[in-house]
Amino acid sequence: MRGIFWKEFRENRALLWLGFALAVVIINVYAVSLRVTPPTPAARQDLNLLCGAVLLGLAGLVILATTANLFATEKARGTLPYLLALPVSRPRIWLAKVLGALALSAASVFLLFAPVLLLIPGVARATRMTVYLPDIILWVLLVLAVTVFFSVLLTRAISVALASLLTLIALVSGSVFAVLAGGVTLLGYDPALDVALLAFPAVPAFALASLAAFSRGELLQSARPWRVALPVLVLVSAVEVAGLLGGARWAYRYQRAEVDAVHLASLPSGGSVAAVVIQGSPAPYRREFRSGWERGRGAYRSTHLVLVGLASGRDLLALPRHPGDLSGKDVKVSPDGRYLAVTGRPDWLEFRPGAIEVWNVRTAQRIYQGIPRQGYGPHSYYRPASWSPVGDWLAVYFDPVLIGSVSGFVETNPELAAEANHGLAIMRPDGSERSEIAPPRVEAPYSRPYARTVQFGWDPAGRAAYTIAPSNRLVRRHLPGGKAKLIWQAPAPDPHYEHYERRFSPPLVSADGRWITLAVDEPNPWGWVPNRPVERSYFTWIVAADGSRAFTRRPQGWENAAWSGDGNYLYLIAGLSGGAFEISRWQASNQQTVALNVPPDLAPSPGLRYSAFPDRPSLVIWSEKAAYLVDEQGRFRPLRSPASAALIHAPGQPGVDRQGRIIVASANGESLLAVDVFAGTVTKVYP
Amino acid sequence: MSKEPVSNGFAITTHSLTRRFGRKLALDSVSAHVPTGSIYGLMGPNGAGKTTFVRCLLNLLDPTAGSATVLGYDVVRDSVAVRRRIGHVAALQSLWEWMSVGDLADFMAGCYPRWNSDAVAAVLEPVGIEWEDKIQALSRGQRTLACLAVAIGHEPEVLLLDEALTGLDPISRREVLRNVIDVMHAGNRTVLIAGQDIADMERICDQVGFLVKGKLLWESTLEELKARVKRLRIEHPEAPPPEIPSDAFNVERAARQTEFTVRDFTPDRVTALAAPGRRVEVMDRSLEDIFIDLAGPQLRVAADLEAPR
Repeated sequence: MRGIFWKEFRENRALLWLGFALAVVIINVYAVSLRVTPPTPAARQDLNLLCGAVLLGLAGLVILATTANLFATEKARGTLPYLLALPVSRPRIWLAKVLGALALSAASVFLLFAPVLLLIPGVARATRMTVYLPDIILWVLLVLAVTVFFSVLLTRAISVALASLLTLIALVSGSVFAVLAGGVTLLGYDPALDVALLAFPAVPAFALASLAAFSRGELLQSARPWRVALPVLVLVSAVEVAGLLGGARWAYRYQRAEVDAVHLASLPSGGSVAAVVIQGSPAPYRREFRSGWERGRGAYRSTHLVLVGLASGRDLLALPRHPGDLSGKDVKVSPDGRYLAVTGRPDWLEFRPGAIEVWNVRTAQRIYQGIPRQGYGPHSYYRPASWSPVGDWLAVYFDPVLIGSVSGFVETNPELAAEANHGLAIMRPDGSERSEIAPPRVEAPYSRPYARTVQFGWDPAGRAAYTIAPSNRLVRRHLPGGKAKLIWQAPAPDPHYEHYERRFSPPLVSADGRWITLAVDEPNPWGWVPNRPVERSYFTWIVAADGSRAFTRRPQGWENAAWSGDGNYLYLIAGLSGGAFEISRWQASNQQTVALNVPPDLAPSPGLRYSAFPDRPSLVIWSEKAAYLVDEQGRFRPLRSPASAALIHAPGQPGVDRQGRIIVASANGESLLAVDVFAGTVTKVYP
Repeated sequence: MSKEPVSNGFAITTHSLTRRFGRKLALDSVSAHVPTGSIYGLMGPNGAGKTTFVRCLLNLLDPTAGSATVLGYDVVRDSVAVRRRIGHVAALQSLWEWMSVGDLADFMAGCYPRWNSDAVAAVLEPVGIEWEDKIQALSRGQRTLACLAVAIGHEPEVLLLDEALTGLDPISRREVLRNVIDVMHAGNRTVLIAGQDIADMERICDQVGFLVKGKLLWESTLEELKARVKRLRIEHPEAPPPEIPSDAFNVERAARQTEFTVRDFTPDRVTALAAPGRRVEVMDRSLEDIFIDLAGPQLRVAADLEAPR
């Protein structure tokens, strides 16, 4: 066996020399090109792409040529009987030749790749495909198996190469179709690897077929090998057909658009629009590490954004695939329905920061695009935007997320602690009249970076914004660029924590503009010790908009707040340990808080959702088990089916339209439903 | 622990060995016995099945039916053991052109458990082939000589020569045969020569077999063959022509003379044919004559069957 292995090496040593010569040529071409190419990153990238593509193509040809040489050449020149008459078993001869081809391919490819290995990442970046070692190994094995199979059957190396090429194209096309068009996801984060894995069952089949045909000694009669090979081809074809059928089955599910999130806006002229984030078909995909893990379905699916007029059920605006990640909370429609603001997540692989785009719905033109400051590269991004109540102002947060998430980063980079490159920008929809509000500057050496963010709430008239200023102050800022006016200051709890910056929730202003509620945390001396579990407690404050009065309560945990449409009731929903919660209702007319009796089948539940109505004092609240309407008297009234079923099974967050209907996505994500909880009806509004 | 095979004095034995290629019957129930230490000449016309027979022994082809053993090893079940003990040279054997003769010898040496370079050199040197000579630079005859040389490098117990002498000039052929046969005979080894070089076979073989249209028509020692196959000429100028025996073939009749060949000659047959006015003459046959006598009728029948009507 060793003798046969070495024979293969010696027989094909010219291939190694050719590979070496090609490598030398490519290195020299690359070096000369570097001298004459302008030293710009784009030009370098183009050069890397060119060289990488050439190398990848050459590598494929080398593998094909080497393996095509396996048995076909022996048969063509008549040396195969001589070889078979040696006292070596057929499987060992077969194995020696396959190993020889594998080693030769590896050596040749290594010679091609090794000197320019650093160029390959350039190819990967330019083509948006990262070359992984498992991909390469699987493809090499597939090429090897197919060409070995045909080299046993056919007598000429060129016919082996052509037959192998055609079969590989068929195999790969089927797999690509199954993965990209059909939506078959095996690993879910790497399409190339999925395609390779789908075609991988062909490898042992082809290899065994070639071994069987070779071992039976039927090689000298041209028609006989197919007796073994044909069933194998049928088997491989069956596997591929099964893959395609599976792909078609999945395609039926995945080719349909699915509603991922809904954001509603009521129009002054009546009616509502819904910005719908749609998970589209799997192709074109983006090769990303994270998507498969995060979404758990259709890892390569593209994201589309459609603005839907609920009255007509028609698309008002359809945006192409958004650069960067996109989720429902990144989409905001202006209250007048004229503009659409989309904030994108940063693209970690592409080293691209998140951006904000504002679209004119009527003209379908993008009127503004901005990126955050480039202080820390791709880690900068915009948080979801917020429209003023009349839609003439747009507020948007930007924040380098890195500072707040890496323990010890600020301590070792003290200059960053004082740099306010995150904050709040308020501007017109087209980006004009932009003013920025910096977060509170902190002088204390052990400040908490995550506390230094701008919390923000709109005045219902849209002429002022409430923010948190340094020293725990709630201020009112008139737009545009008005000075901050102190409304209220959180009391200092203890002189030992005079530098302590509290953590605030965004100020939530009642519909009538008379009251503001916000949650404020209590100082915790251990709160800034790294790696120590932080136990926080919170106070809920309700402050009169003129600062004249303030009420507080200390719930057991963080309270979510929702104002009723008339501004008279504030529903406070506190999550308790173990998934339970309690609901209290504060009444503006008497400034009293009443604990409501939560039905037992509503709690505990991790999936609690609720929605207030613009013109009613009621609140509708539902979990994964039951749905209730909280009436003006604070009583829980169970919702009737099908309204309750529509809410319980709806994915994502709901919205409320001008008619007081709750707009949710259907359970299968295919459509939008309008749930009238008072009439108990469910109407399909889109598509 | 495997049982040592028993050859029963025969290096090669086949039992009803049959091989089909689709509808064509290449070997038709061949039962051959090649004694150990003999030089066996397997003769037959083109397409008789000689190469198929040899390839079955090498397990390059699986028998369709029947079995074959070499040195007691089953050629299918113990094919590697068989090939380890066999040397083989085929007609117009193709070789790896890029190799030198030395490379070829080294390559072959790596495939066998033992190797005798002196035996190889003993064949190469007399005909002027050097170790460094490239295969592609050798003539057709020289390639055959190189193949013959490396075929005995592992000192095989059985040597199969399948039309191996084709392309060799008479001088080389004689030289090679002498060397190879000397080497093989010295170790009481067996040689099977398949081919049509009847003159050479007659000179060196001690066993012969006639293979025609896949059937083994005859198998015996050369002496026995020549003793049993005789041509009888009966002159009968006055007497009526004799009655032709039923086993006679290749019969030629003339006005006063009749000739035929018998394959089971005994002196009694002369007595039986004798009569007043007749003269019976027994003629010895050369191997070529016998081959033509035995194979000719079979081939003629085949030709008649295949002739267009």
